[in-house]
Amino acid sequence: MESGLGPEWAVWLQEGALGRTMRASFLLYPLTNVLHILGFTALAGGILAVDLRLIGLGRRLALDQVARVMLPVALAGLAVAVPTGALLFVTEAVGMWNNPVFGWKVAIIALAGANALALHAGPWRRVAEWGAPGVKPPPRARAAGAASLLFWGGAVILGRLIAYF
Amino acid sequence: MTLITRRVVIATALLGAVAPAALAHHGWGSYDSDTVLTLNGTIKTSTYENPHGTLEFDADGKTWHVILGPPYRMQNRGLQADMMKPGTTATVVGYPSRNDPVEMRAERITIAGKTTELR
Repeated sequence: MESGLGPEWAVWLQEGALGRTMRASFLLYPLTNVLHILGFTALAGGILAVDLRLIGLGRRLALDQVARVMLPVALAGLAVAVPTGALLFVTEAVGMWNNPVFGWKVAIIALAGANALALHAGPWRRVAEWGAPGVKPPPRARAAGAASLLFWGGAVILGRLIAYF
Repeated sequence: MTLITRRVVIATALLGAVAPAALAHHGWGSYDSDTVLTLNGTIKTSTYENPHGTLEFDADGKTWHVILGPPYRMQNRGLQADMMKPGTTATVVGYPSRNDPVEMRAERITIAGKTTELR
């Protein structure tokens, strides 16, 4: 595990009781990894369903119905992915701080969040109209769906690539 | 450019910017798997921790930083923490780091006649 070359707060985090427990426990680290995967699977999968509908797939279904089912799945996934991610970070905070791929992953997730906020603050307010069966969503909504696919796909890819850098 | 195009460019740029940082630090891509090192030496210190154990290993006149495997895997394969006490002699076979001349990633370790595959 990388040590030394990192900001004090990162060293403090990883050398604390939580960090030491994560590293020492045989089961906790693999279990946290598995839960993190299950969490982001639900998160990415839920968002994928809505994004595909946003860009026009499955137009027979009403978009707000799809969203009503799938967004809570995504949020439940987020609720698992974030704390498990935090535990994984604490395990090797210095290494993660120094890892450029981890930084990009956080950045791309922030972009995904901003994209989602812009969609929900804007076009989503009239989703009952343009998300109705058979209706083509407006360009802004389609663009937000496409961007979301790229951002979340990117986040999943970057998460896997952390180990290789 | 259109909204979609602009966002595709940003996302691609983010992913592309990662490429030059390839092989940095000790990610799995940062070891030269075309060069096989066999080190015979003595364990100075060892850790048996997630995500992977390590050794400070005296061999060939240097102290090598050796990357082992995850504790669960090592345990499963019969390599216990107390088998790697300071002063234990061992043979480590693995790949050298591209970035650190005294770091290597062990493929297997032999202690007291028993070889444990780590990958």
